[in-house]
Amino acid sequence: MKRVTTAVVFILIAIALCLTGYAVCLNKLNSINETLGKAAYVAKIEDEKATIDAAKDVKGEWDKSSVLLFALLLHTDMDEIDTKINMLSFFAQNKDFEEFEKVCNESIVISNHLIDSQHASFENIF
Amino acid sequence: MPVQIIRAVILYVAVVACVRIMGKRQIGELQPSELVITILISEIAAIPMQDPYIPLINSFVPLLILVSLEIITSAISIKSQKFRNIMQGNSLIIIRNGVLDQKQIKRLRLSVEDILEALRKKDVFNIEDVLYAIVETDGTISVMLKPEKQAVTAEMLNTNVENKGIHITIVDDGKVMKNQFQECKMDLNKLNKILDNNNINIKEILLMTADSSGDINIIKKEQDL
Repeated sequence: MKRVTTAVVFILIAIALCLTGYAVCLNKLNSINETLGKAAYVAKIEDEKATIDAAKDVKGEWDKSSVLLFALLLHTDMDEIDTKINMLSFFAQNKDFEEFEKVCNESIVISNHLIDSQHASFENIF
Repeated sequence: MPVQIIRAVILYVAVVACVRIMGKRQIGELQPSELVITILISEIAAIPMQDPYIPLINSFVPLLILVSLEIITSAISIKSQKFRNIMQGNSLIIIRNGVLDQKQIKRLRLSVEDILEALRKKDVFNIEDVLYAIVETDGTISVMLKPEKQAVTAEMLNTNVENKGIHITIVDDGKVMKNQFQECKMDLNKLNKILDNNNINIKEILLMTADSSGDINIIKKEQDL
């Protein structure tokens, strides 16, 4: 009976881990997307100071979230966003607004893909 | 590289813990479901061990689920005969009174050579000596010989044989195994007396066994090793 109780506890832990992981992923990625969206907008209007600040915000947001996200998502996808976000401050300082906006949008696409991959949809399961 | 070492250690601990939690059933002959679980667990642990880009949680969650399912299905199997039949199948008689049940053999996709080999492993070299041969759910074959082919037992000879119990290890390489004392009605005073009578120090003993009747066997360590 003890073993069965352990088994039930294990299942509950697994479900809790999955649900928490899912919620954390969605929350963190949405918040990163939001920051990236703002950064892309200020780059589009070519506001130099705001772009530099936005690059810092994105980096800050990413550093805060990535610790947990690395534990939950495939590192290859995470590394891709990580590299792109690290490039943002370089583009901001060099006033390369076009490239800055492009990188922001690419990061949003990858991030959205990561969000989609977490849903228990037919495509993801099979 | 340190990442791989740490991940390997974590996964090793997780897999050993899983096998321990599943219990001793996993160590002996495996039932079909147990075999599947064992293979899956090793696979699940091996992939993130090789690939550092896969989060460990991707391995832990399936491990927890598989171990839990295995424990729950075995618990249900104990309670429900129907469920047990679905999960493990039934034992099947393939030889009755020296005659092969060809229908069952075909059903089990066994060749005659497979059966003869299994019988030989049980020290049976003539199929006619077999009263019953049963294919168990784990795939092993149990054999019951015809009465005239069975080894003579004390019961057949109407002889009383003293039950001495099992020989238990009391001293292993100079170390006293106190947890074994109860099985052979031993205690420290008795042990010291035996050692005094044999004029031997405990450190000089490689192996000492005893049974519940007081029969003792001592093997000394060789000095020049």
